Amino acid sequence: MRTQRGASADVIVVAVMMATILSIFDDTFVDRRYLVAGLAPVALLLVMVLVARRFHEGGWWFSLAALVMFSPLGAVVALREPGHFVVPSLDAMSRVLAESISAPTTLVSTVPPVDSTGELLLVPYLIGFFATMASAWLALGTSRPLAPVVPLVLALGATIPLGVLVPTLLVVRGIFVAIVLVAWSAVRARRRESLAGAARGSVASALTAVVTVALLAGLVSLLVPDDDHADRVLLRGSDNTPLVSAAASSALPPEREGEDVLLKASGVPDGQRLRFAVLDLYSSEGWVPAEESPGSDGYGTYKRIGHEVAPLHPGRTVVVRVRLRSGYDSDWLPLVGELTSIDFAWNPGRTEASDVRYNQSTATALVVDGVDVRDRYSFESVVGDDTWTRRDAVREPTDAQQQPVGSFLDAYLRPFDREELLPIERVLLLARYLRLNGNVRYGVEVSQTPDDLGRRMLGTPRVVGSPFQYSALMALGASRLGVAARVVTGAQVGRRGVVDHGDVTSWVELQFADGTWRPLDPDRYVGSHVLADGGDATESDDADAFVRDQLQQAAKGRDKEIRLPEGAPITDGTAEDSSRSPWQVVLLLMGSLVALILLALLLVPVVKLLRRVRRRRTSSWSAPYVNGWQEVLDAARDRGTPVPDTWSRVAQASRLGVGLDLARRADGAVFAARPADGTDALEFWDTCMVLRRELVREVDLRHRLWSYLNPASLLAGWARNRSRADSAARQVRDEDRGARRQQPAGA
Amino acid sequence: MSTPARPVSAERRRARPSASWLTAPWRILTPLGRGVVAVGAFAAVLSEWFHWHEFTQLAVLSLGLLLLGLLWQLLPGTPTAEVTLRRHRVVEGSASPSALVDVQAGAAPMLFPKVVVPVGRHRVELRLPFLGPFARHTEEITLPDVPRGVHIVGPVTYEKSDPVGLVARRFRSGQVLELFVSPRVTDLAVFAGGLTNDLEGATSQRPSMSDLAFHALREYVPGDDLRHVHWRSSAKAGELLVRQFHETRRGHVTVLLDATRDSYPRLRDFELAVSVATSIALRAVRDDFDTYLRCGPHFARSRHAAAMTDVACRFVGDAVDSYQAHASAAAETIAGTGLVVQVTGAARDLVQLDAAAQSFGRGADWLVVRADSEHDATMRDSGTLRELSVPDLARLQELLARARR
Repeated sequence: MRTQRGASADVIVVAVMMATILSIFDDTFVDRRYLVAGLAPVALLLVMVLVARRFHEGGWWFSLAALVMFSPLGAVVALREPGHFVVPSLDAMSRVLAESISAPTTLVSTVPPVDSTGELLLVPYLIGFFATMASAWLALGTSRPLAPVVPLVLALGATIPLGVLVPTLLVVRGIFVAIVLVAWSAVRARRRESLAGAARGSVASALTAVVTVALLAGLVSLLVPDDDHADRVLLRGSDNTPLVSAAASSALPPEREGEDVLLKASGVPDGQRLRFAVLDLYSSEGWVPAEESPGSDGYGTYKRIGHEVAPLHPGRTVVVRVRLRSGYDSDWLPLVGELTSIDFAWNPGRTEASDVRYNQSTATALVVDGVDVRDRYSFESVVGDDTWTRRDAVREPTDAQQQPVGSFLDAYLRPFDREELLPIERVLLLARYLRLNGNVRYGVEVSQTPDDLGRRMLGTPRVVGSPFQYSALMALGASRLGVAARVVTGAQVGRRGVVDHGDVTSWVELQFADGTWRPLDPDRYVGSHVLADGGDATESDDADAFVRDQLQQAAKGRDKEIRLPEGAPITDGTAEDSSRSPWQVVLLLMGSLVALILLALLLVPVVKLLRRVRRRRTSSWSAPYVNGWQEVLDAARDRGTPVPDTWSRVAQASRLGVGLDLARRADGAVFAARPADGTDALEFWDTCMVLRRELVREVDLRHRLWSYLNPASLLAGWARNRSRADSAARQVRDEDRGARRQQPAGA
Repeated sequence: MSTPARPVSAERRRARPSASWLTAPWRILTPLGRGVVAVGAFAAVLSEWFHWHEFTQLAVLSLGLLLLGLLWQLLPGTPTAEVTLRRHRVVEGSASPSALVDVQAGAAPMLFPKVVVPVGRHRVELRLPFLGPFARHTEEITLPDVPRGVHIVGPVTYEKSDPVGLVARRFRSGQVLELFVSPRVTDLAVFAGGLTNDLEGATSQRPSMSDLAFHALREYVPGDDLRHVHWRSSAKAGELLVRQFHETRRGHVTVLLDATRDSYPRLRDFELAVSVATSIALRAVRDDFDTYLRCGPHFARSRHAAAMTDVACRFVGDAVDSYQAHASAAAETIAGTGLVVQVTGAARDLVQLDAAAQSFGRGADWLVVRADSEHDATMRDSGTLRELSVPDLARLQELLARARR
């Protein structure tokens, strides 16, 4: 009965754990058909294990039968190709074997949520099949507590990198998995005990173990909150580096002679621009699109898309239709906002959805082998709030998002890098300087080398550059001034939705603390002085004087975007965080606890000394005998060799291996008809003290030292006193009962 | 009733090698604890490399449980325990003996504490009910079936473990007892007269207070049996005088069991031989013979059955053939034995048995019993030698009866 109950519990735990582990895919697939594909082998294998154990078959038979079932079952529940009479065809079974290898790669190369079709469902099927095959057999075939846990842990490790960056119920699921695995192991270990007689307290012990693990897991969730999802390492899928590198050159669509119209778009909301590409990595030659966008929290790779794409941020949904024209020659697919779905259903061109690689972080898409000039598509996207104020917290740039310290722009940015300003205010100060002092020359100049942006642009008294160079300089400067920034290329939609080369533009996006990227409009930083061909540039103000003047204005409260408190400089928001981390709190608590314990231990010898003095100074004639012998017993208890209090003194002396004389003397004195001589009592006490010291000296150094600090005898005495107080009759040792009737021991 | 053999004292604790300190942290972990530590370490590595929060939680939880288990060991309260055997002597294959385990809790309450009682190579594990501070509980346990031999029972080991069971320290308490599991025996018929040559009551020079041949009178001393007071002489002498006798030589039976393993083609033959030898020795004791039972270095010379069964519990096979030496030692100890019974296996050469029998002189009867479970029962009588081959214990009585005719 006990075995059957244990087997049932094991089967339930394996099934629940597999369902929990597979639920990591809840945000990966568009619906929950993945659970059917993953749990079908779980159920079947559990039944097979039960049958195998019922007939006492070995693991080889079970493994062989399971492997034979692998392909047919996969074809039915994952590929959903049952064939005639639910017997899958050889072709379908071959596909199961072949696509099992490529399915994980395809899954992680697709932007979630992916469609629950085809080979992608093989991933939960594979995990469910192999993890259950090992775990179920180890759970029912062995009694080792942790053996079935190992395949489940490995399944968890295999599932996590295939899922999304932040699955729903991440923390709750982690706690649940940890609780179940550890508690299950503890219960299995208890079950393994070959106990004689009834298994007492098995339920209570199991409950205690579960409660202990749960309480500790709750504490753990508070101690190690998952503050940084971005560092979670997932499988990256196919390498798109060549694709992205090739697409870098067409971030700004090249002009074609006589073909000025790029595309026609409808449905673009007012104030929104079409996005072509995002340049988020500055190399030595300039801004380029990164294969994995820095600061993207793990979402910055180009992946396949299914019918649906999960937007990273909320916003209003818009539907946009785009028809490319012959002037558009680029790898980048013009988009607006964060894509949620795209439709090439009536596309006369050659591009299909499977050719699209979408980057959720940059909200840009590129097409393998480039777009076709006849492409026509519609898409749904989410457009968020692009506005911001100086009060909005910004995100500090990572090392990949900014130039190294001391690089070429730092010398020119020093006037703007004011500690008393917020990072966003420094950026606005730089933008204002460029706007008021810069000269813009419209053209095709896109060079962004350090020399172009530094010495020839910001480092000269006459700031001259193209709008794109201003964007490149502004993004680079913003990153160095403390706000992560990137360059975006796109186009303003003209009248009737037509976009030509003149509408192509670029702008800077700043990253805020919530991870959103919001535009810094070019009107804020592109030079206001337009240079005609051959015209002279106006001379710029000295940057230091400009900044000083701006700050003075701000201090007077005349600046709406840059604020300085009157009188004293304000802090720059980089003050140290005074709040303690959970670890510090725990360490502090543990340190306090340890200090308290140490203090209590140090007090133990003092209390024992006081107890000894009290015992010796009693006025009772029998107390020196009773208390003296009790000192001997306490010493034995404190050194780790206690003897039962209920034994006679002679039996206690025999157990301690000491002479019986003292015990008999104590008995003789306690049971004597009249009080003994006082000197004899004191001599007895002194002898007991000598014996007490000898007992302590007998043990090794560790036990000897511990005997001084061990509170066991104090606790035992406290328990004795408490039991005496609780009982109506005064509880004494049997042999002392008569003596105590004559005179209480405490007297 | 229990007979304490030796207490577990502080010396035992000191006897632990100091090198064990190095492995002490690992040894206090239970197998589950070691597994959880390994899983936790694995999870910590994955958490550090891949920043998977699920594994971070698992690793920190493992660490926390380990710390909890270690802190649990600091709680005071070591219980004391004692084991008492209902019977110290049992026969192999009979009903399992029972024992009483008496546990007194320490200062801290104990949640279903686990107590282990070693019985030879076996362990009896039991979970006690919840014990409050200094509560006392007595539990009766049934000991496992153990083979013939002397088995150590105790000391009682208390496993102090945390609620999850990751860390456990063992505290031994109580005394070590010996459980004698004697071999199976069969009841044999009374040895017939004539089998031994000294039942006629020849006298020795050793004085005795109760025998047949009168020796002398001596003064009464307290404790002398009043039946032996010679009243007439006492009246003459004016003090109590008691009769003293020459001790009559009693019948001696010597049973030698071959301890050499090579003498027995099969291990079960040795056990059969032990049963045969013990059965013969017990019969001799019941017939009031002075009985000498020996196997290797272990021997007993007594007229009490308990002495025979106790020593039979200690018989073990020996790889070295020292049968001849042990037979000589027995012959030096026993003078004038009437019957020498040699119990051996099928592989022992008769010449060697004859040489051993020569040690006892030609006056003694000589009986060889071979334990051979693979062959049929046989009996060979060649003058002074009677040789039996016993396939199982049940046939011994019949064969021995035929051998005595």
